[in-house]
This record gives sequence, structure tokens and C-alpha cells, in this order.
Amino acid sequence: MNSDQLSEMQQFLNELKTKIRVDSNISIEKVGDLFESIRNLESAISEYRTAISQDVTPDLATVERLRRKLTLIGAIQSIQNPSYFDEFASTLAEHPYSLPKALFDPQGREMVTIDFPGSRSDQQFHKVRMDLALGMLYPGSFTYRYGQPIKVETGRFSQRFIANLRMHTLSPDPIFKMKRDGRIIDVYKPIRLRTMQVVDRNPFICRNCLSISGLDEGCSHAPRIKQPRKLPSSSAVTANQELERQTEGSVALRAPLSTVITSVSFLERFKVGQAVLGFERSAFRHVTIVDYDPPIGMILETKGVAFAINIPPGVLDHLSNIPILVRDVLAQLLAHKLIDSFSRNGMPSYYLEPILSGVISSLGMGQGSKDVTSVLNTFSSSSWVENAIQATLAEGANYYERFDVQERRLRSLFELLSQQSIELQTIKNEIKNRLLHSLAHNLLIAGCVTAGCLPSDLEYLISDNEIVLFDSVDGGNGSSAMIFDFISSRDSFSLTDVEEPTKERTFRPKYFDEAFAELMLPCQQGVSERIFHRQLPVPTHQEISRRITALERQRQAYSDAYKQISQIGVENCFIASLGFHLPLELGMDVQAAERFKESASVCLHGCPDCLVLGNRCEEGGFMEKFSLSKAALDEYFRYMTKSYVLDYRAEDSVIDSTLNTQGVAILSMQLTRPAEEGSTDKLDARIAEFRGRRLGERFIKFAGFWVDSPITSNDVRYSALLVLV
Amino acid sequence: MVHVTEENVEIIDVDLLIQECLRASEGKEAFAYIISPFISDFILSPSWLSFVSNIIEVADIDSYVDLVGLLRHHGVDVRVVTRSPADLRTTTISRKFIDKQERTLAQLAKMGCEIRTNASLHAKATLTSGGVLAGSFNLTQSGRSLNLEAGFYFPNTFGIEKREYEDKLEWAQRLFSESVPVNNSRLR
Ligand SMILES: [Zn+2]
Ligand SMILES: [Zn+2]
Ligand SMILES: [Zn+2]
Repeated sequence: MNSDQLSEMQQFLNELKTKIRVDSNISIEKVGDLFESIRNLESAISEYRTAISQDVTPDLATVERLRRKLTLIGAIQSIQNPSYFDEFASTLAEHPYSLPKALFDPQGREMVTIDFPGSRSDQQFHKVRMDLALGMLYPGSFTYRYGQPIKVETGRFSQRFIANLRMHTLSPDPIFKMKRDGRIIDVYKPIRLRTMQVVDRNPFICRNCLSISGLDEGCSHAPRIKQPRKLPSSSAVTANQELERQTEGSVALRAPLSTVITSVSFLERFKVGQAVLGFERSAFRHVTIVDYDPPIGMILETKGVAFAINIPPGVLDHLSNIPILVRDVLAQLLAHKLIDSFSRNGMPSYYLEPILSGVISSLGMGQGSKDVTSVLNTFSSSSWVENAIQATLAEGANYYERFDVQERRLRSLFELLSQQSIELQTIKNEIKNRLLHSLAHNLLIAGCVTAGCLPSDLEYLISDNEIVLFDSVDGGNGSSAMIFDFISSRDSFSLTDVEEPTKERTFRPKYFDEAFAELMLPCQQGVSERIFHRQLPVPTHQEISRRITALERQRQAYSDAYKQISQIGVENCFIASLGFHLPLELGMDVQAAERFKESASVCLHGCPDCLVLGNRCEEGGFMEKFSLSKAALDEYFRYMTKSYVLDYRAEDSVIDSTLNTQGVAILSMQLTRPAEEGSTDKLDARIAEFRGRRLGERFIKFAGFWVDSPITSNDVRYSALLVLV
Repeated sequence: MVHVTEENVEIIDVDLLIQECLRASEGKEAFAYIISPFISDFILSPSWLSFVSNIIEVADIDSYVDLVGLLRHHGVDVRVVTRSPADLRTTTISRKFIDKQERTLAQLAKMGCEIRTNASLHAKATLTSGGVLAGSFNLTQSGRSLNLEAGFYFPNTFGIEKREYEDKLEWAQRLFSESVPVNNSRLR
């Protein structure tokens, strides 16, 4: 390579840098990585330049590696879904694999010492950034970060699923206190974390408690239930606690979002305590949750955006009058109460479903269920306990490969549960929690879309009437700032000439409120499922009909399961898919039961297309489905926007006056059959009439269109949003 | 009928095109005639396009040409009638502006729009299955902001408005058939 080629390469890198800077599709994290790689290449170029000037033979292998890196950068740029990046990069990166979380590493970051006591190499201690340690090197995790797999120690936890962290060095005093389920817990800072080398990559794992033999864990369960498996995957269970804040500026959203979020403020300084409470481990398609004693954590000084949430008492009254919702939220609440007492009873988390299912059937909460008041009466009488034990054991025996839960453990668990007081008001509060949690997920997803970042770049923190999104690294990573900047109500309606053809310009970022508004609309998958299972008139829109066709195909394969769903009703699918109480009642064999469970996992309270975040949920992936409710959120949004909703046939003057007073009108049209099945013609015509009309100083604009099919009613409706601009 | 002024012309223009995308996604017949002596791209304020939906994605769009691209993506036939850059070069219009027109036409052609030119074209109109937006405009050199003299919008609904709409549609169809197809290779 001669010096001209080097200049060409430098030129290429310069262009690449410009492109990376302007391409809003690349997340901040990726920008950091790409710049890092480019810096490496640049220094390589200058070294190479020195080398050829000194007439030294070039190191061809290095050049080849650089060439590959360059190609790689090009390839990464063209990848639409940049999540493949990690896989790509790791093939070229050096030990230890660490992707910088932010472009600018703030100074003075806290470090943790990772201790390798058995290490044969000279280096027994490694310093690791605190956030990295808590995210990837928490006790109970396995990592290949240092070449050889290692495990961060936990000691034995099989008895009560509590890992005592005494083998690690923690701060002498707690660094902050955290409120959790009404209790205050102390959180300690890790100073030195002990690890051990994992020699056997296919160790014996206990099918009961998921403890690994031969390491520091072990358990006293029978050897015959231990099987060799590859190292299990795990994730940290985390929680956040606000410590201090400093607000700088706030904005209001436009209607109709202003009914949900009353104001948005930027938190220039946000001090938050981040705790790792334990970890989730999965193996054998099971999950266990292990709690730390004590929890460990760190204090983050970062930036955030606070959203003031409006949940008036009226909407909670309304929601708690919807029997399906109340029943499902009660089931979710029972799941939380059960899991909380699991560790005390030494019960692994994956038994949650059969146990919950036993409770559901003994309380008569299944399909055609009793009303909530009588369910709650039964619950408080504790007469259900014996039935629940029998139901759980029967289910376990019929549908689980191995279900060795002793009757006495079940009894103590259920008796503990029955002592809890659950009233209508408890459920009402729980509905509010569901709403807040679901909104938090929507805000987080909308935030990622706007800031072009990954869910791991942001965290959420829920309090009574507020949700905070904050940057997940010390010093911030720019995501919150970007979200706050991209709230479109700050912009005026304007036009700018394009000087250059489209290709040279950057992509328009999606505005935060727009992204959030779309997430507040009904889930396309959920709507399609309800239309399909209830045989409602089918909208002809591509996206809906595509999903309906897919469901039709599945019905051909699983006809019995689908018949079953149409008998129980799609609105009962969430409860029916918990455990196997329904298959047991109907005497299904294992295969039929599995198929039913799979087919019944429809989107009622959330699915990956709408709310589900998996491990990024602060409740952890395992408890997530008991923490969200898309159905409640949809009903909440309908309730909050109901003053804007008008029948599409309403008089012009009525529509005008709604627009005048509220700035918004939602024209609603119910689909009729069979004559005009799915057709939007009449609504289209109505929109056409209002388009561009002047009202006072402003004009009417068509600003949204969606399909809905509420779980509470057997209809399909279109909504057209008109706004004044 | 809605009177169209500088203030609402773009709202209606953008709205008509978005609704046509929706119609196409419903599998209905959809089309657009874009008739204007001068066509150049312009950035749409995000608020114009702020359109929420659970069945159509209008998100990644930020310019007029992108919006036409979305129509094409949904399989909408887009027919463009304009004045040819070569013809414009004989006028006093700035060179820069004509270059821009040429670039924009090349982009539209690449997207699969049918482009025809007509040397005597003065009217500006957008027609879709939802309505017609039309007006007479004074030519300015500033590109997009043609000076609007008298404009109107007729929705394709019923009565007089429908008759007016059909009248204008016929006019557009005739105009298109009388205009000269552009040789794409001559566009940059
Ligand atoms: Zn065990
Ligand atoms: Zn969903
Ligand atoms: Zn969550």
C-alpha cells in the first residue's frame, strides 16, 4: 500500500465519520463504537505511514485485519437492524469484550474489582466499571469475558432461593435505602466480587432448583434429577430508587395526548440508586428467581425526562367495573403475592403457573366465572385452600414432567396467601399499577424510537403519578435530552425548501409524542385476534388481513384448540392460558393441552408487538406478563379521549364545535355487515369534507386513523383523528 | 368547497396523499395526479406528517418526495404533469431552480411515477380518489412558494362537489393523455 492509498483510506474514514454523525438511525452506543474503531484505524494508518517512510516491510496480517474491520464497518452501516452488531464485532474485538455504553466516558467512574482466586495466570484482580459489573457480572452470572468461562459466586441458594453475598466484599454501610413493597431495604456497593473458573462447560444442573453441581452452589435434591446441560442463561433483577433531582424546563403535549400526560420536564440532574435485587436463571425451559442478601447497587448521576401522568379516580372506577379486567388483574395480583412467598417456602419460581392455576380454579375464576365479590368472599373464607391443593397436584401430575411439590408446602403457601387481605380497593390500586407500568413501557419504547437508542440505554422509574425515563449510564448518554428535544409540540408548522436531493439528507427522527401516540393505539395483533376469534367483520387493511390469514393457517393446524377458544371466548384466554386448569377440567391430553395453551396466548394484556420488553422490564421477564395490561391501557385511553369522540355521522356543527373547544375530534365508525363489510368509504368521505377547512384562525387536518375492537364489546370500529393546526 | 390559500394549501395537499396511502393499504383503487409547472422537493414539518395509526406507517417521511415514495410503496399509480426542464431553460427562471426541478423529476421517475411534460401548463393541482386541490398560481422564482391567486378544494363526496370533482378529474386525465412522456434517461 502506498501513501496515496493511505490518504484515500483516511479520506474514506473522514466521509464515514460525517455519515455516522448525521445518520440518526445509528444509536449513540453504536456511534461510540464506530468512532472507536475509526480511531483505531486512523492510528493504524499513521503508524503504517511512519513504517513505510522508514522502509520497513508492512505487517500484512495487520493490514488484512484492518481491511476486514473496514469492511465490517461498511457492513454494519448497511445493516437495518443493528442488533447484530455485537455478534459481528465480537469476532474481531479483543479481550475483554466491552462495548462502551456512551460516546464520552465520564471521568471518575466507580470501579469494582473482580477477583479470580484460583487464577493460574499472574493477574488475580481485574478492575471493571461498576455499571458493567452490575449489568453483566452480578452474582450468579456466567461470563466468557475473560476467555475462560467464570461464574460470579453466590454460594448455596437452593433452600430458600436467597443467595447470601458474604463471600464478596461490600461497602461497610449501605449506600442508599430503597422502598420496596412497603418495606425499606438497604443496598450495598460491591467492592470486590469473587469469581470461580468453570471448567466443565456442561455441568450437572438440578431440574428442581436449577443449582449447578460442582461449583459453589449445589443442593441436596436427589442426584437422579440432575442432568448435564450447557451453562444456563440469566439476567439481573434490578430496581431503581430516586434520590435527587433538578428540573430544567417543561413542556405540554398536544391533545389528545395531553389528557394522559399533563406535562413533560427535563431532569438536568437525576440521582438514582440502582439496585440489583437478585437474578433470574433459566434452564430446562424453567425460570428460577434468586434474591440477594443483601441487594447490591450503585448510585447513578444522570439525566432524565419526567412525565406527569393523569389517572383520575373516575377512570379507575370505570375500569374496576369491567369484570374481565378485574378478574385478570386479580389473577396477576395473586401471582405477585404467591411469588413473594415462594422463597420463604423454598419453592422454585417456575411452579408459579401450576400453583396459581390451582388457586384460579378453586376460586372459580375460570371462564363463566363468578362475579368478583363472590370470588373475594371465597378467598377470604380460606375454604378454597384444600381444593387448590388438590387442583394443583392434579394439574402437576397430569401435565408436568416432574412436579415434586409436597402437599404440606402447598398448604403452607396457600394458607399464607389466604391470610392476605384483598378487597375491591386492592384491585383498584392494582389496576392503577398496571396502567402506570404499561405506560412506562410505552414511554420507554417511544423513547428508544425517538433517540434511536436501545432499550438498555434507558431505564424507567414509576412513582405514584409520574414516570421518569433516565439515561442508564453515569453522566447520561444523551437519550433523555434527545427525547425532550423531540417533542413536536415545541415545533411550529412550517416548511423548508430542500436544497439537496433526498439521498444526501439525514433521516427524520420520529417525534416522541407521535411514537408514543401510536403505542397508545390498540395493538394490531390483539385487534386481529379478537376480530378473528369473534368472527367480526374484517377490515381489508393489508396489515390486519395479513394477520388474520396467519391465524387462519394456525387454525387449520390446531383446529381443536381454536374451537376451544371460540367456546370460551377470546376475552378469557389470559386466565385460561395460566397453567392447565382448563385442560384438566376438559380432560385434554398433554399434547392437546400444550396446543391449547399456545393458541390461547393472545394479546390481551400485552404481546411483543405492543408492550412486552422481556428482560428490560424491571419486574424481570418472568413476572412481566403479570405486571402489564394492554386491555386496561386501551380502555383507559378510550375513557380519557371520550370527550373527543363523535359518531362520524354527527352534524358538521357538532364536529366543528368539538374541534373549536378541544382542538381535536375523533370520528368513530362502527363496521356493519354484511353489506359494506370493512369499508371505510363513508368515513373517508367525511374526512374529505373537513379537510383543510378554516375554523377561526386555524385549519382542520387529518391526523390519525386506527382500527379497534375492544375486549368489552363485540364490534370493530374505525377512528379518524381530526386536529386543528 | 373549501377555499384554498397559502395557509392551508399544504395541509390539503399532504392530507390527500396520506389518505390515498390508507386507501391503497385497504386494497382499494388509489391514484394521484400531481400537476404543476414546477415540482421541487421540500421538507414537511414533522407536525404536518404527524399521523398516528395502527395500520399504516407514515413515520420515516420528511419531504414531499418521500411522501410520493410512500404512495408508490403502497402501489398507488402516480402521474405527474409538469413543464420540461429544457423548456424552462428558455424562460427567465433561475438556473438553480431548474436544476432542482430536474433532480426532483429524476427522483420521481426512479420511484416509478409516470412523468409527462406540457409546455403550456400553468395550472397546479393534486387529484386523488378523495378530492381535488387546484388553483392558479403566479410563478415566483423561489421554487415551492408559488404565489397562490385563487385556489379551491372539492372533496369527492356528492352533489355539486362531486360534479366539480369529476369535471376536474376528467380534465386531469385529458391533460395527462395530451402531454408528452418524458424520456427518463434524459433526467439526471
Ligand atoms: Zn436442587
Ligand atoms: Zn399486543
Ligand atoms: Zn416493566
